[in-house]
Parts: sequence; structure tokens; C-alpha cells
Amino acid sequence: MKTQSVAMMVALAAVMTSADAAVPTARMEAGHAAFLKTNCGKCHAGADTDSGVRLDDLPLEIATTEAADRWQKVMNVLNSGEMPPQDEPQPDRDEKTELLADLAQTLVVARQVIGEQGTRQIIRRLNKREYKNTIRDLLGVEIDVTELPQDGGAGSMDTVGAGLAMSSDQFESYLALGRKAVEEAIAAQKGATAKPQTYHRDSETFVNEQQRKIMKQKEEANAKYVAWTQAIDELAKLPEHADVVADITKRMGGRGDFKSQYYREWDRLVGKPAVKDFGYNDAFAIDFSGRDSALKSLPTLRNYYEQPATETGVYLGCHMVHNTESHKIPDAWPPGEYVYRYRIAAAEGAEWHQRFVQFGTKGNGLDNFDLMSTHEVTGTLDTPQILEVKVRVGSGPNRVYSIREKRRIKRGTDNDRFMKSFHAIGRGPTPVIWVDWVEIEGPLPTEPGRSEPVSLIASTQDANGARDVIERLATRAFRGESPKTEYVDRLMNIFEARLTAGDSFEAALRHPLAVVLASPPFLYLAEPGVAGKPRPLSGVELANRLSYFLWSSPPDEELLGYAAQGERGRSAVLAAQVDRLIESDRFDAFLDGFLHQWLDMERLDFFEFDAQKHRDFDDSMKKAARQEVYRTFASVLRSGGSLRELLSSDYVIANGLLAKYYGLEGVSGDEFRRVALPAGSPRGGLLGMAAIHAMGSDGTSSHPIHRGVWVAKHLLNDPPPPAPPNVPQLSRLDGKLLTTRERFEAHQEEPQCASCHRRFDPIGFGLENFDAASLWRTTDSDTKKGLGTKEWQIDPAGKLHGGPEFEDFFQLRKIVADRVDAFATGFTEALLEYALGRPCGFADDELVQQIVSRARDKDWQLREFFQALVASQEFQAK
Amino acid sequence: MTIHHNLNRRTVLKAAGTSLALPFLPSLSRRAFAAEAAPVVPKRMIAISFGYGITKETWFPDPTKTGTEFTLSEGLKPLERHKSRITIIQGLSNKFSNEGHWGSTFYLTGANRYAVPGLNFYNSVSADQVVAEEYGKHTRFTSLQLNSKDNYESGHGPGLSLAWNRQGKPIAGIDTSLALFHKLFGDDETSLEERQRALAEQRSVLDAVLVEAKAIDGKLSADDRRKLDEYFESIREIETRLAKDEAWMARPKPKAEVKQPAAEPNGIEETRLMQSLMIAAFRTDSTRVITYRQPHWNLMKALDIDYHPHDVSHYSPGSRMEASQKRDLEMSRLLAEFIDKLAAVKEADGSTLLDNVSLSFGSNICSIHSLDNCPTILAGGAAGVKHGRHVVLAAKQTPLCNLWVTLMQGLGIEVDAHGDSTGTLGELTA
Repeated sequence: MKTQSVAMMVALAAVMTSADAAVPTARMEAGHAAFLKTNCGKCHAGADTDSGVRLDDLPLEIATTEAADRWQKVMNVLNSGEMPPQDEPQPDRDEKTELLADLAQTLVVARQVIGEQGTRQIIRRLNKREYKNTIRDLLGVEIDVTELPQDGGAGSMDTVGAGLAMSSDQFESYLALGRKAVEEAIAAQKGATAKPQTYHRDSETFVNEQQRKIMKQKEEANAKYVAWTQAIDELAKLPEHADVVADITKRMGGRGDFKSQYYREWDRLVGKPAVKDFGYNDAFAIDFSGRDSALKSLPTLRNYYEQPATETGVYLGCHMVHNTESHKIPDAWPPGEYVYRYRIAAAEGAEWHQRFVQFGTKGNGLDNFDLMSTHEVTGTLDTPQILEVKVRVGSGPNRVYSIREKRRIKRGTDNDRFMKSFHAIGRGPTPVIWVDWVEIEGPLPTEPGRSEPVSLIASTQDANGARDVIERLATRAFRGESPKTEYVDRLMNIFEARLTAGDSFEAALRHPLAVVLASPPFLYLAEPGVAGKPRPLSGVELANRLSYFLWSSPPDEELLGYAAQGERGRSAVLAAQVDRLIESDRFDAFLDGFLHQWLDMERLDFFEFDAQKHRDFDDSMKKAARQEVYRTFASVLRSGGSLRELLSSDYVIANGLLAKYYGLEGVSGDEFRRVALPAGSPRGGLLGMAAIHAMGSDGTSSHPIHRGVWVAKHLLNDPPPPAPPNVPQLSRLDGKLLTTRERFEAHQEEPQCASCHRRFDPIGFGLENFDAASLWRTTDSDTKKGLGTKEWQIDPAGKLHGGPEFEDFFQLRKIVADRVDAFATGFTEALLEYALGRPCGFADDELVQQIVSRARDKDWQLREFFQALVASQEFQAK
Repeated sequence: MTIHHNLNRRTVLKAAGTSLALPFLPSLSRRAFAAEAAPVVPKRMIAISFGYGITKETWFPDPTKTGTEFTLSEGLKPLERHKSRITIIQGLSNKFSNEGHWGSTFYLTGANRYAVPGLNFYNSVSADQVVAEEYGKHTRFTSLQLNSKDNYESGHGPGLSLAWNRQGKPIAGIDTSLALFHKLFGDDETSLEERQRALAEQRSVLDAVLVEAKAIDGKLSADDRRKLDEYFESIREIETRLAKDEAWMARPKPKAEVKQPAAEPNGIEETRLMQSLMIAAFRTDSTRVITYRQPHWNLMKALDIDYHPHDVSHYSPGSRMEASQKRDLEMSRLLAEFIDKLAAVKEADGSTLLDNVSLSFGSNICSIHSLDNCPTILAGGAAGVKHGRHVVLAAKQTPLCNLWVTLMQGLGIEVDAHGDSTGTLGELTA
């Protein structure tokens, strides 16, 4: 992405040689030469300096890699404080700040200017997401692509051709994944003719039998333990034990579980009872089966059976009782799409955060749960609801899907939940989610509107039949290009060799088909061309670009149909197609691909949120928070809304879970919908979203610097230069209780820190009313071991660097929302990079401004950005 | 960048064939020639990096005490028993590095990210791959690249492993000890005949995809063709590997002398398992060149450190600095264990594996995103380094690549420059 706003370029004294010159020069202000002369000239001037480093001939215009490297060194040594040496006069603080601010920014421009001498690369490999989607479209199967390396990185999006490398390992992964996909597709296609089947289970039959058996054992264990403790009690009453009892009582200080400690030290009693007499093998068994097991689980089990309707259904509880409903799609059923159906209810008295279930797969060990979706339970025991969740399965072993009460993924915190309850009421929490029965049905027919997968079933089991299938798959996989005869011949040789070696017809065919999925016309989006001679794209090429831009997958038949009609009336048809693609479910791939990268949302998954401080910000909430960003964007776009609504709005797009988290009433269910906000709400627009604030935290505390940088970069289109290496650490404030502001304001003291931090720290402080998990707060506190706790009122007031002042969050939001022009420019640059598969450079300024002004004329209608981009020459030509 | 548009498998094979020596057969050769000559023990190379750096206040020994008269710092205390077997160097750095979060990307290459105008990212060949070109001729695996599962979050930076090929492209690594185990010892249960047929099929596959690749290539603009070169390059690499597979086909993989690792070990256990497998790989002479990007976040998780690695790398006195020191100690402890293990393996000529290994342990990042004074520890006798010393280089920013040239020369590789090197570190071997 081009990391440079137009406003900034002017501030940099970038000299435009003529009105139409698109590429600026990266030039340091002449005044800085004086700084270098004064502060560095003693040792670093002239051809024969002892230092060997010459700065007096450093060009102010940074136009070559060599010049950039030399300036970079200057920045590094100034940042680290290495130069000027400590025993030399030090530069003026303000001058140093300005020089560093200017230099950091100019170097960013310089790297781009130098970089721009390079290519306009368009050919690109399908990225990981596109590859997965394309296979799904082509073969109707979902494959696991985790083994492919992550695309993107080094600062560009995962659609940028230059960053999408190929290696021999990757080629072999494509072959292996291709084989798997073909195998599953054949199995699924053979199964597609099979009638859907249904699996139905009333789990209580099995669960109750098992659980009551355990309860019986626990009752017996408990009886033993009670007898044992009674014996100890009797003994303890004897006068010779008064000292021991007094000692234990004193040591426990009357606090906590006095009695259990007392029973644990039974062997201090004279004439202690024989363990074996009470049916225990050894002393260890008393604690283990008696105290820990029976006392904890028995009351929890008893409580389970005190709940209504345990004879007609099961509860999903916590530890010690039934807690997860896992059901496997039978191995004999073919790969395909299936639906899990649950008749489910939440008991009366359940708190809001308990009225949700998680659906997913269980990994190895207790700690692992691969969360797929979260669902609100709105049914009651009188009128349960039917919950339906669809899954797509392959032929592999991972066919078990589970539901359970919403909770943390890491077991430690779930154990905390149990223990907390145990300490409070002597047993685990009362279960509240009740399941009457579970059903699995499928395979379901292909959804209407989806492309039918390529048939891999040969019409005849001979060479002609095999050749047909190979050609059929290759033609679709190559996006309309027919495979070369020599290519098909060679694939047929592979097939024949397999047959000769004894493979069955079907097994032999799998191998050449997998090769198709590792061939360049499939893996690369290639558009023929001659450098320097642009040409309009063909209809099919345009359909491909459009489809990979908005769906991250190949065009469907309708789009290809229009492509075949030629250029006449293309623009009208194209605009309608853009709208249609945006309306489709498959546009989700754009939301996930573009928004995640544009807004740097990977940080949302970095942290496990502190369970004590942020109980409700669990994995389910994190997913909902991410969806809020995606769904809001989609809603604004589809409803003809304005980009301004992403900066500030009087509504949120939320589902039941998120609305409850935000304290908004009257919203339930899993669908995201528009919810009007009460006056004065901090929600509405990106700056009110949970995901944005959670990303600007470390999972425990808010992180104003991250937040400030994020706002500067994404909303104000004023991205700070990358964090420089070698900056000395601030340590003088350690070992003190400090407000967040005090802690970070130290950044403003050192010139090398202030040069950047003054640009974003104040914004971050203005957002301090949102805690790490985005809930509104007016106070904050700091606790340090040995120092105690300090609490303070949050003071969000501040001033943008070189800009207006604000009193509170609402004024800050207003300032940001008023700068929609900058936001629109940054958004357009990101969209351009994503759509064209190459970085947005200075030469694109005219196009960016065209798109921005077209959108501005329509009151920043979000849809207009997409239409203007697709209508542009850049999008439609190679 | 070389362009191989008219790549012909036969010519490639011919070229590869000349450089393919016969598999090294220690047991056979020993038995056959025991009377005539002492067994030749091969030299090996290991480079380990650890992403975000160390706590400089407590990791580096006192710079005023050099040579043999130095005291191990707090962070290196667990290495006390190996003091005479290691060398600690201060003053090395990569001249062009500007990325405070990239501890491994340029560690073994010393490249300038911006060396090629028009490219946002450039890298060059890593030292291990230069060594592997020679050492890899004799073993089943030319080199092995090991990773952890938390590469990116641990400050290793872009790349798929520490290794970069001659074209400056990243070489994929193995992310888990389990996967490494399977690579080293995984049983191929198919018969020789079946494997020969599979090899023939793999070659047919390459021939087939090349038909389509060339067809596209002919229609592309020059810039686009340069991109598609990566595809041709990949095919060429596989051709070379198939030729090698063919040479090794008749030889079964060695029997595993270590247990199959557990599926999900924690960061400490994982590092230990990787150590054992590296040793197993050397003992079976499966390879002689290994790089390893150590776990960092997972190591911290195993130590119950709740901070994100990046937050710890920005330590200041207090709990984050303590976390950083705790991690340093654990890394030193694990390195000490590794040296123990290397020293415990006896070679055919009576020396130990440690005597025949050149081990380097460090990162491009020093501490808190500083890129000067790259932390560096050396061990092992293969490169002729005289150990038991603390070397503080006179020139504060001596190229790290000077070290790589020194070690490579010590390993017998004919090379006089690498990355941004300006010479060698003669003081290490003198």
C-alpha cells in the first residue's frame, strides 16, 4: 500500500517539477544540511576524514538506493544516541526532533520513489485463500490448506503478485493437495446420487446410564469418607489431642477450609485409625477418592439430577458432569455438506452470557477446541428451539462435531469457573443448556446458484473416458483455456502407466487430475501482453479479475456468459455485475481477505484476554467483534450507504451476543442486523467497535500507542514511518505507580521518540475510555507488587499534532469523522492494491483522486468506490 | 536471476549427475577399509537463531574482560560447565539491517533488503546453503531447515526458515520435531520397483506441467516472465532432487535411534526433541548442514510467561525484563544441554560429535530492537575456532558475515566473501 498522503507530501517539501508530474522527489529540507554541518562536520566532512564516513556530500535528494542507505545510517546513529559521541557537544533537541521526523518520513517516500522504477507486475499465483476457494468451486470440496505457506507479509497484501512466490516445496504441496481434493471430489460425486440419510440420537439414554453409575460410585465413596471423618472427629475430642487441634486451628487462622486441613493431618493423632478398616488401600486414597473426588463431584452430580427434564434430555454443564455433545458423521456417509440439528433450550434463571453454545471440533487433549461458530439459545424448556448448523466434511477422520456451553477455550479458565463455584457453593455451577436430541442429515444438495463442480466420473471406463475427464477438468481449471494436446497426451501416459502397474481405473485417473491442479494455467492468473503496450482485457480476463477481486474465486456461469458477449455495452453490464457480486454470499471472501489486511486485524488473534478482568471477551466474542467490522462494511456497501458511516454512525450492526456485550437491549439471535443507538453512545463507526479497541491492547490493558498508530494509519491516512531500530529504552520510570499517560508521556521527552510519538500518542490517550476489551470506563488503575494500587480518572483531552484540540472521545471522533477525504484516499489506495495485485504507487495518484472525487460527488457512497475502480482503465487493461 | 526458459530435463540431469557423489556409506567403508585407513569423520554445521534478541544488560559478559579471563554473565550462567568449549563474540552486526523485528531474515545472508530498485524485498544466499552445496553431495538430505511453530510472532521476520537459496528465495522449513522425525526415519514401505515407478511418474509430471508453463511463458511480457521463472526454478530444483533420490533409492532410511516425538510438546520439550533429532540426523549421516529457528513464544509459554514476545522484547526494568531474563536463562540452559549431548556422542575415530561440528547460536537482533552487537556464541571444533574465550572486536560494527566467511573457510569451503563481508576474523582461530 502506498503509505503516503498527499498532504504529507507537501509538508515534506517534495518538489513537483510540473503540474502533471505524478512521482515526487524525496528531498530533505536544505536546512538539515546545516544541522549536519554543525553537529557532524568536525569528523565527517571532506574526502580525507579519519572517520571514513563523509556526510558533507550527502545528497539532499534521496534518489538512489545508495543515498537511502547512507541516510538510513544517519538516522540509525542519531536514534541510538551513538552520534554525536557523548563527549562532543550535543545537538539542539528541537532541531534533532525535526530532523528525525523529516528524515524518517522522507526515507519512506524515497524507498517508494526508488521502488517505482520497477515493474507493474500483474501475473500472480493464486494466493492461499483463492486457491482454497477455487478448488471448492471447481470440485465442490473443502480442503485443509494449512500446510501452504502464508502469503503476504513484508508490508503488502496477499494479492500482490511480486510477493506471491513459488518454490519446489510448494509445488509438491499443490500436487499432494490436488490428489486429496480429487479423491474427495470423486467420493463426494459418487455419493451425490445417494439419498440423504438421517442420524438421530436422544443422548440422555447413554449419558444417564453412565453418569448414574458414576454417581453411585461417588455416593459409596462419600459414605466411606463420612465414616472416616466421623472417626477422626471422635478421636480429636480426646484431651490428649487438644494441642494438635489447637495448633491446626491456629495455623489455619480460622480461615478457609478449616476442617479439611484438620482431616488431612489425621496422622498426628495418637491411636490413629487404621486406613484399611475404612476400606481404603492407603492414605493417598483418602484424599483422592474421598475428599477430592467425592466431595467435589457428588454435589455437582446431585445438582445435575435436581434439574428439570433430565430424563428427556441432557444438560451441557461444566466439569464433573456431562458437558459436551459430540456426534460423528458416520464413516460410511460420503463427503459433502451436512446439517447438525439440535432441539435445545436454556433453563430459567440462566445469565445472559450463559445463553450461548459453541459449535466446533475437539482437538487432541482437553485444552483444544476448534471453535467454528457461536449460537444464542433462545428456546425455553417449555418451547425449545431447533438450532441448525451446516458443515462440509471430507472423507478424512475429522468428522466429529460438538456443542457445549460458551466458555473459554483454554481449560485452565474453565477449571477456574468450576473452582470459583466450588468455593462459593460447594459444587460446580448449575447447568443451564439443555439438549433434547441431536440429528445429522445429509449429504445436502448443491445450493442453488452455486456452480456445479466438474464431473470427475468417466462416462466409459476406457482411455476415451479418461481423456474426457482430464480435458473437462483442465478446461475449467484453466479458466476457459483449452489444455495443449501434448499436455493431455503426457497426462494420459501417466494414467496408462498406472493402469499397467495394476491400479484401478479410478485410482489411475486421480494422478493426472492432481497434476492439472499444479499446472501454471491453474495456479497463475496470467494475462498475455507486451511490456509498454497496454491492451484492453478480453471478456474472460475481465471476468476473472472481477471475480477474484470480489469473490477471491473464479467467475460463475453468469459472469462468464456476459464475458462471452464481447465489448458492446460492457460498462452497463459490468456495473450491474459488480452489484450482483457484492450482493452474493461469496462476497464474504472479500470481507475476510480485504478488511483483515487493510485494517491490520491479525492483531485481534494475538492475545488470550485476561479471564478475570475481561470475562466476556472470550473466543466467541472475539469472533463476533471481528464479524461486526465485516458485517458493518457489507451493510453500508449493500444499502448504498456512505463511507462516512464507517467513521461515525447512529447505529451498529450487531447480533445478539455483541448487542448484549454492548448493553443494547432487545436484540437476540445470531443474525447481524442494524440496531439503533441511544443518544450519546460511544458505539457506531470503527472507533466504537470492540475489535478495534481490543486490537489496541495486550489482552489485559489498553495500549494507547497501538491505538494511536492505528488511527493515524487507517483513519487519518497519515501512517507513521516504521518503528526504527536502535532507539534506547526508557527506564527511569520503572518501579513507580503511574497513570497510563505518565508512563507514555516519557516518549515526548527524547527527541528521537518525540519525533514520531507526538503524532499518535495524543490520539491513543483520547481513546482511553475504552478498556482493553472495549468496554466504556471512566477510571483506570495500576497495581504493582509491593507498591499497592493507584486509581485515576481518565483524562482523554488532547490535541492532534499540528491540529485541533479535543476535550473527550466524542470530540476526537468528530475530528476524525470530518477528515473523510483523508480516510477515503487511504481506503482507495488499499482497495487499488488489493484489486490490481500490485502496490499503489505515486503514478496512481491521478486514478486515486478520480475515484475519490467520483465517490465524493455521491456523498461518499461506498459502492461508488468499487464501481469507479472497476470502470477505470487500469482495471480493464493489461 | 537466471532464466531457464528452454529448460531441458536431460541437460539438467547431466549437470546434476556430475556433482552427485555416491552415498556416503560409513558402515560399509569402515568394514571394507578398516585395515588400511582410519575412518574419515565428516564435518558438520549447525546455525541456530532465536528471533527477538536477549537482555543485553545481563546476557553479555563484561566487555572489559576478554580472552580467557572472563566471567560468564548472569544470563549465560547455565553454560558455566562449557566455558572452555564456547566462544562469545561482541561487536558483530549486519550493515544493511534496518528491521528491528527481523531476527532471522538476514542473519545468515547479510543482504540489503533494498538492493534491487523496484523490489520491496531482496535477499541473497545464506551461509548454510553455500556450505550445503559442498557438504550436501554426500548425504540423503542436502541440508535440513528446522523451524518452530511460532516463527512470525517470535521476531524471526520474513522467510520460511533461516535458509535462502542462490536466487535469494526462502527455503521451506520443518515446523515440528514430529515432522522432522518422519522425514529422517519415516518408513517407505513400498518396494524398490514401486519407488522406481513413482520416480518415473514424478518425472512425467514435471514434463507435463512444463508443456503448459512454456506455452504461457511465450505469451507473457518480460516482467511477467521473470515472475514465472520461479515456477521453472522450482521444477529444476525437483529435477535435481529426483536425480538424488534415484541415487539413494536402493538405500533404506536408517533405523530411528530416538523415540517418535509427542504430538504437541511445549516449547522447552520441543527444543530438546529437535536437539536430539539433529544429533540423530548427524549420527546417521542423513545430512551435514542444519539450521534451526528456535521457538521463542512457545518457549515463553512453557515458562508461564504471559507476555507477547514483542512486548517482552521491549522490556524495561520490572516484570517484562524479568520475563526476558527468564527466557534468556532457559535458552542458555537448553544450549548447554545441547552441547552436553553433542559431546556425549563418540565418533568412529574416537573424537566426539562436538569436535566435528561448527555450532553458532545467535540472532540479528541484539536487544530491544537494536541491530548492533548481534549476540553470538560459537561451539564445536569443526571450523578450527579456539574456544574458551570472550572476543570483543576492536571495530564496533564488524560485519557478521566476516564470521560466516571465517567459519565457512574453517569448514573447508572455498569462499572469500559472503553478503557484506569485508574479511575474516583471524583472531578466532589464532
